[in-house]
Amino acid sequence: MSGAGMFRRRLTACGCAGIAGLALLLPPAVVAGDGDRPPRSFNDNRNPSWNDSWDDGWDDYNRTMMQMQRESIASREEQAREAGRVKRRDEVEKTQQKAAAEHEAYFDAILAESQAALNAPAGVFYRKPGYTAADGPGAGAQAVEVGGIPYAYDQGIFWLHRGNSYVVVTAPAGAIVPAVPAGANRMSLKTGPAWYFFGTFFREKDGAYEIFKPPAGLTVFYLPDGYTQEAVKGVGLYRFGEVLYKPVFIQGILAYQVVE
Amino acid sequence: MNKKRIRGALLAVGLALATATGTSAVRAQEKPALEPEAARIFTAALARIGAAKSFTFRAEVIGDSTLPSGQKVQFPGTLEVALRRPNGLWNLFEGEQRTERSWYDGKSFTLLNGGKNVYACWPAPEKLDDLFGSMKEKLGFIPPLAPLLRENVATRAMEKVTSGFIVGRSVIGDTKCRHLAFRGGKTDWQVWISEHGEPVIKRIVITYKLEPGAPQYVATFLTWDFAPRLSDAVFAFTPPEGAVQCEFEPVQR
Repeated sequence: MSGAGMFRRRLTACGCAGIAGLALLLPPAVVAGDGDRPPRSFNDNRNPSWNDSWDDGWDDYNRTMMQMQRESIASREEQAREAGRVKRRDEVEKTQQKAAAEHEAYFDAILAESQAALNAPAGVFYRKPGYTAADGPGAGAQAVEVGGIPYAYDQGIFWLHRGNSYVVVTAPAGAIVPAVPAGANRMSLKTGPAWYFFGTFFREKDGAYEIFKPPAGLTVFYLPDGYTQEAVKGVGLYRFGEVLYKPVFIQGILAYQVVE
Repeated sequence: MNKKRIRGALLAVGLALATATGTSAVRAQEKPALEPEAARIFTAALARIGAAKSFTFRAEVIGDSTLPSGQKVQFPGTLEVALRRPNGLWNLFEGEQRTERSWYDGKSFTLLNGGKNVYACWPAPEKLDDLFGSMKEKLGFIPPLAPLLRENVATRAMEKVTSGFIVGRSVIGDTKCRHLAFRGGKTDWQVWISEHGEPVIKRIVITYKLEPGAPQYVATFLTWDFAPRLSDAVFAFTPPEGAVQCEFEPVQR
């Protein structure tokens, strides 16, 4: 036997052993043939005479197995690629969500800032008196007691616990709160700075803020939702909580002046 | 040696530039602060308004508001005005923040806030031209675009102008216009005036240059009618149903 022939035979044997090994690795349904025939090729339509010769058949089988192997590898690669794509999609989605959240926060900040500057901030956290909710104020609410009555204070709003729910009430004069809510309008009074927020007046007291009843003549440029209109001696007035206001045009702008 | 040459060349270029700049500055100084043609076009448009017995216009207006942060926001609205000399004025402003109407009939001036259905009346001077000065002094405000509504608007405007020039030509809506720019003490004005036919103001931009953020007020005129039929009823106020009457807070002096 020539060296070349020996080499060719070893190569063939290695090839057969390799294929047999591969066949063991593959699922039975895939490798199950028709009797002793190798399984039908994926290329049947292209090569209908696959069993015309053994070699051709093997050749076909080899190509089939290689194709399956390639596809298996390709499938794993594709799975890996898909996993990568999913990961990237997740990353992109998270980035987009983060960007959206940042944008929203940025927009909210602008809105809050502008609302603070505008006369009637719409959209800031506000619930008119009488509003009832089962969940009540937010987690940041603080307990405030006035005249023995326990209130929950949250972002400018006072809540009372009633049975299984919470109800919004007008701010009790004399209450001390840690901060004025976002969107409050700053005013300058003779006694010092004060803040107005939806019918509630705040002034500084010992490092905190006290709710106070406004003096007559004090003017605000909006009344909160929840005010009522009433006629006193033929004059149209507005009431919010315990405070009565009269409308007045100041430099052409409608405002509300405290009358009692 | 080379450095000396480069230095010399730079010096020469610098001198040339300085000379050129100096010449431009001299030319700029020689140029009249108020270009006669700009003044003529502007005066003609204003004189037409001042001379009209009556007119109406409709405009889209935008007013800047500078927030404490320095950020500017704009409040758009539409403004309709009907004027009949010597003593009739009506306007309607519908904006983002408020809707207002006002009536003046030579006896009283009434302002109605449409959103809240609240109004106030004020005994007014007999003549329109006296109304604005008196309102400003006693109530602290004047109707929108009031400076344009005076009979002597052209004279008053040109008295305030310190400089002015023709910026160029442009189209506002479908009207070819001359674009003019003027400066005053407290405000700068840009005006677009129709180029053909009777001069008509198509747009005004007023810049309040001394105010923080230099806010602007823009009025784009959609329609002008210099021959309207305006009955007395246009200028007579009738309180809407349920309207609440209030007062004007007088200006504290």
